[in-house]
Amino acid sequence: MSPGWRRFSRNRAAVVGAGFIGLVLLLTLIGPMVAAGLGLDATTQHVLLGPAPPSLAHPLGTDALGRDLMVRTMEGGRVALRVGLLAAVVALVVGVTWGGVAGLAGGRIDAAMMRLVDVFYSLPQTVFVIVVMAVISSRSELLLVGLIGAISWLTLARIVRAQVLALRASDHVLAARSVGAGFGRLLFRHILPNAAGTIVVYAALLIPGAMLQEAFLSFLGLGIAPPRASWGTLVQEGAAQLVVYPWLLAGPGVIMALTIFALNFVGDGLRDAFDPKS
Amino acid sequence: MIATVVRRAAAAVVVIFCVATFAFFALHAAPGGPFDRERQLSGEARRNVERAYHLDQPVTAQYLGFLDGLVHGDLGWSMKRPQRVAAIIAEGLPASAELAAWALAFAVFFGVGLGVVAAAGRDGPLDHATRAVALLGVSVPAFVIGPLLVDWVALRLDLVPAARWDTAASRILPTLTLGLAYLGVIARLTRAGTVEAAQQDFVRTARAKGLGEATVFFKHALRPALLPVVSYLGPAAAGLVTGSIVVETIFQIPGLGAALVQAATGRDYPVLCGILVFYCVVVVAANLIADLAVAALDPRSRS
Repeated sequence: MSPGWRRFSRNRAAVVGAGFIGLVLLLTLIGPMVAAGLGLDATTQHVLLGPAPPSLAHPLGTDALGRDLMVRTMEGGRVALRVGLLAAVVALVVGVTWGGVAGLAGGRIDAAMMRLVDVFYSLPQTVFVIVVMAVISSRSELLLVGLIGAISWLTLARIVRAQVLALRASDHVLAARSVGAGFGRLLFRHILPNAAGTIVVYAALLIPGAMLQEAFLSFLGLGIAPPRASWGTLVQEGAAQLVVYPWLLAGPGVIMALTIFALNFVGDGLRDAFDPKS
Repeated sequence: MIATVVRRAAAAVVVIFCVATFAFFALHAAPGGPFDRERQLSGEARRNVERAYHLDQPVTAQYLGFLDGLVHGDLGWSMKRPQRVAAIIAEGLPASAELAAWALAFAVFFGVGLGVVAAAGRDGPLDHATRAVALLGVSVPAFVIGPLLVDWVALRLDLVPAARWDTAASRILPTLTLGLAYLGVIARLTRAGTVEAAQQDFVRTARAKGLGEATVFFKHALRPALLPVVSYLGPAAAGLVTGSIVVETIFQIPGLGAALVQAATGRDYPVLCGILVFYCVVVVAANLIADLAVAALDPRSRS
């Protein structure tokens, strides 16, 4: 076991968090299929059953239309994890390119690019997402992924730039430069692979934030559109009917909060284990 | 110092100009004409409406007109309500500003207090408790905490109103919901700053002079310990804006955030873009003020 993984495995909170995320992944990926075998799905309504509190047949209860909340929470988790992961990938690509080009180019280009990052950083990025979603008037998940990714890359760009600045004067980069390696080759073949570990760790830290963005937008009715379930829409429905059917908020709300908790623990654990400088 | 202020202010104006340009072209790119309804307007009526909104002019003229209006504080007319955008903003601003002020005051007051206490009892129970609160604030979003507070504090215990924005008691739950995330971050920043300041040479010197612990802390250690908190308040402004959107929705507060959501779901593009520009002005100004405050507080930055 490498020293990094050994450090990680000694971090109890991170290990428990990783286990919990494994469980959530299992439930969201396989859960809906198992439920389908039992004759349950996320959208079929049982109006006669109506809103029922948690029971053996429906562990998290059912909503006002008689839909099983457990399956809806698993489906919502699938959407949340997919959006979080893909948005982090978008942010990874943009952030690495932006920070890498700025760091390697240096001088005025670097100053201008990083100044732009500072400016974006200070603006209320989520409001821009709301405006674009409303103007395009689409509720597609792909657009949501793109927009959340487009506002999540700023921290990563700063970190990648710092890494590139530290690496660009090293001997192997000078050697590559002296035999005529171009800008892109220097950056993507000789510099960034050496920073890959750090970059991946910080990209993992983006996932919980992106999931919260999705839930936030869906809660406001500007993200994933009903009847599809997402953790944001489930919490919104639960909050609206909290007084009469408290279990509508309890199940999805607690599971979402625990998942984000766990992702933060794992992210912090990975950072502490693999980026000891921080 | 004055040169810095002027340079930063000029940069802020450029940023606002870029945001306004984005807002205009977002407005322009909105699908369909603003008056596409089920029932089409007849030719003459349509031309009249288009003239009223300057839609008969070329894009460049519209853009210049938009910027000209912006400089004069005029953001045009709402497309859904017989009101100017500026009037809608003026209507929502008092409630939003008050909510943000309460939340910030709550977060700074208790955050700094908790942070200092946590630093004093390092690795003690209170230190762990503030870390837990900080993590809670970051991980559990306001739209989960808010409804839970409504359920327990307002409906079950019946201590405060569940919604609206009229009595003094109605301020409590929205303030808690919005402020909790910042309380956690500020407590952690204060703790880190205090721990670091306590190890500085000038603090040791102050102790060596025989000053009491209270004097050392309040006159020497506190100021550098709070610098990270002050510089965090600028970026926090952007978060407060975003957070107030969801808090105003939960508690039915007639503020700017509620107006923004209404405009977004109702496709009232001029209101949407007007509030975006207004938010950015506020946030850019807050960042500018925070930066200048740090410069004023930090003797190392004086030249």
